[in-house]
Amino acid sequence: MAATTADGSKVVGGGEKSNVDEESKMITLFSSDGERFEVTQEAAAMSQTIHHMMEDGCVDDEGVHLPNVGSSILAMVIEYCNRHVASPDEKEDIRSFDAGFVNVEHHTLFDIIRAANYLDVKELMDLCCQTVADSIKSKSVEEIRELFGIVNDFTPEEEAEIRKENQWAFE
Amino acid sequence: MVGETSEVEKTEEVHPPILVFLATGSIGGQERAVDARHLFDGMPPRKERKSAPPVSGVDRIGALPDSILHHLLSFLPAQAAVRTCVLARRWHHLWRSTTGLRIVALDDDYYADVEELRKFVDHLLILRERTDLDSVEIEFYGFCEEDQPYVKTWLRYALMCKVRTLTLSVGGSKYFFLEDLPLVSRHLGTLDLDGVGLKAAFLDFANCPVLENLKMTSCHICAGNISSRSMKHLSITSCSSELDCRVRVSTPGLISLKLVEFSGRTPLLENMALLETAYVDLGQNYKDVCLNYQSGVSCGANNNACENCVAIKDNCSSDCVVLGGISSAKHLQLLSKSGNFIFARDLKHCPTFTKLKTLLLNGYWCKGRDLDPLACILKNSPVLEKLTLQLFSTGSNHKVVMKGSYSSMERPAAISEHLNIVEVKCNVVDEKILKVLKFLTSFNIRFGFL
Repeated sequence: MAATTADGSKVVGGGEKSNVDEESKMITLFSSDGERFEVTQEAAAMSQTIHHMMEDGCVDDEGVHLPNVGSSILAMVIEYCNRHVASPDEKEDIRSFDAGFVNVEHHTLFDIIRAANYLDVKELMDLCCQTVADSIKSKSVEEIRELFGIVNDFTPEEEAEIRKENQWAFE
Repeated sequence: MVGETSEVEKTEEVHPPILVFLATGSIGGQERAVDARHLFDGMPPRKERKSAPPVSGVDRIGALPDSILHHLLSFLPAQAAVRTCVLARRWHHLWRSTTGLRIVALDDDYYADVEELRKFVDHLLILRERTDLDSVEIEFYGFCEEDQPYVKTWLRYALMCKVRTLTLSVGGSKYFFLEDLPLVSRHLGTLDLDGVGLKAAFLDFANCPVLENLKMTSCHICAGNISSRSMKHLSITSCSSELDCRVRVSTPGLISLKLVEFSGRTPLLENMALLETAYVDLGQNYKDVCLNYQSGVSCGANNNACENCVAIKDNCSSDCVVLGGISSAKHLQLLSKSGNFIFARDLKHCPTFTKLKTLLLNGYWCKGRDLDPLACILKNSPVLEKLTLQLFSTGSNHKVVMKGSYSSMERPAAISEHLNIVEVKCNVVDEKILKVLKFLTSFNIRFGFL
């Protein structure tokens, strides 16, 4: 996507002149509610969605608009990406960061999952899914319903039938 | 990226018309549908709650699209994923299309044997949808001969579902031997094996053109070659071979290598021109150890040579076993127990480490009167920037760390002119350490304590 700079010349690709500062290589992201976030290109590239946009030259002067991600969630995703590109080799530190990062309410986790899915940040997506899975893992069906507010819309007969159908999993 | 499905949630049962109407539209439609039942039915939910409803009240997990839930369920042991079928209508069939399978014990705290796994896996593989699988993990402890065909069928199932990451982990004292057949997959990218026995045909990965990561832990290698043109990351930890000849590792595209504690003849590493990092730790394996070492007499090529030092049936016995293949690396960690002769032999034909920037060595390299191994490798590392000597300590918690740097005045030719950090890590500063420091100060390196 070609962009026009101040002097009228066309700039194609990553927009060297405008929002991408040559030295620090920043990129601007806009959340759905219009808030502006400056991120390094390296951190932003953890999102495959944004990475492909940068590679294909689809990032214009303004930056990238993310209509599907609200500011509070986008801030968290950026925090995650910044931390992970900063010191990728310090495994212990990163582990404790991740543990603290996912120590949030389930509804926030789900919002992060949606955002990570849309932005295609695999590590973040897997981290959050693993966290949710861990909270499901050793619970009974009733406990899981209660934990997530799942309403059982089976009749008792229907539920019994399904249990019989998949008895091999319930033994 | 897990693809988003269209707005209408996929359900099998017929809803009352009012729900269908409200369900079309955004993802959040599901939530509103539940609320609508309150409004229009005028009846409380069928299910009586035993305790107060959760704080959030609304079923947010059900509001996630199918594709995300398929991915999420893949993180559960497969049996637990299937059990979600009774949670609610939304969940009745989700388990059938998960993007991954974890064929492991239901309870993380223990291992299942194959017989226990078969009780549900045999049903699962037939009753689930034949979707492509991102990842398959199979883990069990203990198996008998009758179990083997079933496990092999599970592996074939995974490959038929175009699996990209395959993990097979076998606990217990017996190696689970895989078929002596080549692995064929245009999709397999990562293979993680633990406790597995591997034969020649399997370890020729010519039919896995996108295989990039291979990790073998506690595996038994009954093959003369491990070869792959696509491989980028290779890890061989606590593996073994009983062959007299060395296993040849032919991975010309490799970027990172880890070779730790190999029992049996140390594998011979062919040239890896793209290698960036390597971590090699040669433990006290009994084949590559000079048997005369204990008595203090080192083996010559002549009459007192021990049976290990006598030219083994290497194809090219004058070539390096390890150092040659890794000579293009930028970062190396080379450790060895005393007595192991691989590095000492390789140093006789020491390659030039043309790109080596950081080097970590242990006490093995500081043996001998003039610390010859250390001197030799330094001489052949023309662009070295950082040298770390991990001396005589059992773990990585060193009590003393000393850092040294060059005086900028004189730099002898026998050391890289780029070398600007030398770290020495040890428990106590004893005679051995002093000998090393003295050696290093001959290069005009001044030390300070940290």
